Amino acid sequence: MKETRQSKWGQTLAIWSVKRPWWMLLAILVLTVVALMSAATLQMRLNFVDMLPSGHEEVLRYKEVVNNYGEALVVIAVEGSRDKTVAFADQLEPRLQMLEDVYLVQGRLPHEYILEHGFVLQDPDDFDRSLTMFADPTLLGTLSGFNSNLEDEYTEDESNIRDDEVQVVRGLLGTTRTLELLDGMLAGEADTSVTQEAVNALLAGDPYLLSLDREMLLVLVIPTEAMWEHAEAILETTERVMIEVEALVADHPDIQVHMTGMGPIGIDEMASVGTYTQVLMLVAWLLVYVLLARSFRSWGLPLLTMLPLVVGIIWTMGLIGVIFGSLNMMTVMLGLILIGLGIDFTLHLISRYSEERGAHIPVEEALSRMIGGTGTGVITGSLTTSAAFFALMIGDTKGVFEFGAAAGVGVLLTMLAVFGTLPPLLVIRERRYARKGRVAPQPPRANEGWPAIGQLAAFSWKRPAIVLPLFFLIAAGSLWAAIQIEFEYNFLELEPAGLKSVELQREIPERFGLSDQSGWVIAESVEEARALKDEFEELSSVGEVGSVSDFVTVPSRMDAYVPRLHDFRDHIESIPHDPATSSAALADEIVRLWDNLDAMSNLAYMGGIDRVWPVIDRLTGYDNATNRTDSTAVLPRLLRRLENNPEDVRIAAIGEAWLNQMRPAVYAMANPYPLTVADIPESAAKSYLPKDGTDRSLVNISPRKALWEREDLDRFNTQTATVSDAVVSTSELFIVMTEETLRDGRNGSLLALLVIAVLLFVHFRGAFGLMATVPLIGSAVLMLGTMYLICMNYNYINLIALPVILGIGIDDGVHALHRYREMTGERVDRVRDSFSRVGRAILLTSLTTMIGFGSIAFYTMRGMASFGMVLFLGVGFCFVATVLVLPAVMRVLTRNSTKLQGE
Amino acid sequence: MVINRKYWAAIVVLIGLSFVTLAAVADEAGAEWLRRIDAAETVAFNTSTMIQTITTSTGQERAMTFKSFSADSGDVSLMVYLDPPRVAGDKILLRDGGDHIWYYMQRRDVTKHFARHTQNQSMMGSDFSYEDLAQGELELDYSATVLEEMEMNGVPVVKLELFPTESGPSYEKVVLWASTLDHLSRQLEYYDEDGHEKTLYLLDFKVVDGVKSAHSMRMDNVREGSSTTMQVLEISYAKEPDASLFTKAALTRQLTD
Repeated sequence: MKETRQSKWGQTLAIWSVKRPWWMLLAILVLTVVALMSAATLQMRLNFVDMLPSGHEEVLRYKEVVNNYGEALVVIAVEGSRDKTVAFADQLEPRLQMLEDVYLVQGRLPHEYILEHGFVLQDPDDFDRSLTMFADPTLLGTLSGFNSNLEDEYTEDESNIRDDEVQVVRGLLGTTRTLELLDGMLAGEADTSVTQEAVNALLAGDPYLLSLDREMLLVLVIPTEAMWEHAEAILETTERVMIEVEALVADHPDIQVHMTGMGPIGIDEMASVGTYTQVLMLVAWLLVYVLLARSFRSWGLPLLTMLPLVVGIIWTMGLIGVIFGSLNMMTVMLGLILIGLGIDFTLHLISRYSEERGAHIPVEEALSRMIGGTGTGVITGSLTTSAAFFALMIGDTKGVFEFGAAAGVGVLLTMLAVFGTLPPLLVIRERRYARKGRVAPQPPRANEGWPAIGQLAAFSWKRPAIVLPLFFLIAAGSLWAAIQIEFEYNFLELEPAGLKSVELQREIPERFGLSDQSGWVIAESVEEARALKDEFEELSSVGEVGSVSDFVTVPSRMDAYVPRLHDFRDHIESIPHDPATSSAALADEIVRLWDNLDAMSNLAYMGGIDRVWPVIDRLTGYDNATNRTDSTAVLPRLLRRLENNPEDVRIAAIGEAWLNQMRPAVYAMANPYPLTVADIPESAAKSYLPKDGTDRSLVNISPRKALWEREDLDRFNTQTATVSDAVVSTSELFIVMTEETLRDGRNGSLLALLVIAVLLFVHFRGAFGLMATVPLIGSAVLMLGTMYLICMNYNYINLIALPVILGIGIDDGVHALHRYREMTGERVDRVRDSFSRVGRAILLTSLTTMIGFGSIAFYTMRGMASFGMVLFLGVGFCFVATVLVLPAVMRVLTRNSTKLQGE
Repeated sequence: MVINRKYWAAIVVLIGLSFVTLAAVADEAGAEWLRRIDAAETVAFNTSTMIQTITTSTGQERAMTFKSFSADSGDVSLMVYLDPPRVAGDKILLRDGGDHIWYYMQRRDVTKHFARHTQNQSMMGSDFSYEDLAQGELELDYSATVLEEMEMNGVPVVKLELFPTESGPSYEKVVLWASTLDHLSRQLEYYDEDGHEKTLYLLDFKVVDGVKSAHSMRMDNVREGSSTTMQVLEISYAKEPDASLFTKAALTRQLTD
């Protein structure tokens, strides 16, 4: 068997490497230092906004919302009893507000504003009901009015419970607080000084952001800057919030604090790529090193495979620093990908060099053959790979565009680094051994390759009638499976399992009956905000809508409201001071309240209104699981105290205190003063009014469910679009990113395949080269089939693996065809011999890449793990298809064509 | 050739008349189908035990078993909940085709009258509205056009487009598929002003006491993504329920049967 081809440029580079190895390395070092300086300036912009097309309409809307109104970066979830969590939140809020990069801390609703202006802000129906309900401010009168309101509004029309589900729950939480305090006063556990809180809770609800079971309280932190402006600064803000929380938790042993939101999730993600991942990476490197050392029978040679790659990566990062200035979620993985691709270059070259040296070819000649022979394949492979990556630049998505450009350039630079660094390193190695009077060791039988691989290839060549039908059968099954695989849109499913910050994203909507994520739309005026709010509140997927109109009166209503409020105030003042309260009458009202609430809870249960009945059950003590009533719950306890101690002097004192607090409270709430935007409390102004000082205000739409599941988001979008097509949300942006990435990735990959085909056609001077795509297509198909078998979904991270597979997969075919064309002899022998030799390098490169990417498959971050697994499978199947399918295809397609035979 | 104006007028009148005649024929065919469906589906009374499964506001499924009594061709009905224990013994009484509704809660021994509700309102959290469950007469509630005869799940059916009469239900239109063999409805699509809202599937047809009826119904709300199923565990058309059952006073009484 004889080698056939040599090249002049290979000889030139070989001569330089032999004559001036240190000068060459010095030049490489200078370039590397310069690149390193540029790489050091790289910023990490690891947020999804940076992945999106910057001119996309939804992105622009989202940026406007977050720049002008802010978005909660940290959601602090405090768990414990209501009093304990409230005490913690009251101390935490001012401390967080002191942090300079915190714009707003939302821990409680603007309760005082509602207590001072509540009635005038209500719509006409609620206004009428309120004036009737609170017309008698005595304790008995208040309870009676409250009961009448429940009967009119909810137990005589169950659909109102459904329509007002979230408001009903908030009101019930306030009622629970009121009854708790009354019970405490009756029990003598609290004095009448708590009456004011009891009155306020009944009038305006509980001001804290409490879960339905009141066992969790939320505090939201909104930073001054948007996530994408200064990603690192935002993470620092999150860390500062965490430090404040931890410092305070020490003084509150009875509570537990967890955090979620983009800040804590980002920090958790980084932590998840922490020690465990570093250990995995080390193990992977160690395995690769041992494999190469064993293969080359040398501990030093494997190091030579790595050094050029490090140089290539530094050059690439340096150039990215100059061109883009930052790394995004996709380009941050480039180092890893370049190692996977670049190690192919060095292994093929070193294998060839070892093969030549094993045949006692002199160093310069061996280098020349390595560069001019296998090197041509390496260059072809790297050019096609980089072209495949450059094809991704057709995408609108910033993330895909930058990835395509950076990876394309990266492959070329790595290839240059390999050709610039490896030959002089090999020469220096030879000289070191020569100085010791030895010859650099080469792998045993390096010049023979691995005959077993050659035998497999020869089998495929000889038996295409068996191999190809079998392959097509498996491929057809795989294609069917590929269609069945679903796309994972749920961002939470890509995060590490078991992370509390991720779990809270699911837990919060369940425990609060609302999602902490929001949809937003900008209104041009207060009236438009009010109209939008009214319409959004009608939608079944919407839980609550907040807008500036909640704090501003409607001018057209004032003519009707003002005289009635004056009358109401006169009426309240005219009620004689007669707080006398009969315990029997009070007990009757409590029984009536119990009847009403219990009926409401059963109606809610039968009607599937799941947020209401658990709240009522806690009040009445009814246990749905056992069908028993807990007599220690608030309502039974209160009733028992009234029935058992009818002469209790505390009842009179409570009645007195109640009237003393209720009368001025409802008088204040009946304030007829018209309210404008200028009157809005600061926390609400920061939430709804823009930083740019314009009249445009934010309408905040809280969905009932979290929007991470695609069907929930679609329903929310479809419904809100009937009101306004300008609603935007973080979840929607995530879907936009996923879909745009998917589209760009698909288009880019198709173009890449076309470009690869053209390059191969040109390089091999004919259709013979197109056969190099066989392993690529074969591996892609088999990989998809296996993904289905192991129940793996597509996601936006493992989609990045597709162009990477194109890049890696094409190399195997190119090298196989190159080596086949270099060899001479009978065709079956030629296949056996060429595959024996090139197969060793292909197997080694496949194994090293599989170990590298396979280690990622063990990452706790499930998105990254799926990326690693897909690449592991893809690279493995590329090898299988190269050795077992390509020869059969070559046999069939070249049967009647000399040109196709690559002669 | 110039056609005389009189001829033009005659042609227009003839074309108009032919359309009117065709429409009348179509209307008559549709009305005839409605009569046949009413005749097949209207029963004077029945007693049944059913399981209703709804989708709750948090996306969970909830099943409830109840005994149902119906009389006066569906004008009055009583539902007595049997399971789960929380609602066992609770009753809902509908009178005047659902215009008046009382709810009795056994645990607190209280009766509530639903003072205000509309016929197109969801019935106790299900995807059925009160008017979906009211056993009205199609012939009175709708006018119909025959769209086509076809096959559905191996059954020959007629596809009708129904438009509510002035006193009819609140839908914009209903598309109904009924078997041409037994004249029983197999599927109904409900449309409101925003388009397709719900689809009702009638399944598992059985003959009991000489009456053939669906023993399983599923209403899918395509807009909300929710679904309600009603499955008949047992049904009888043999004995008319006592009229005293359908009174407010009877709500507090224990059921003897």
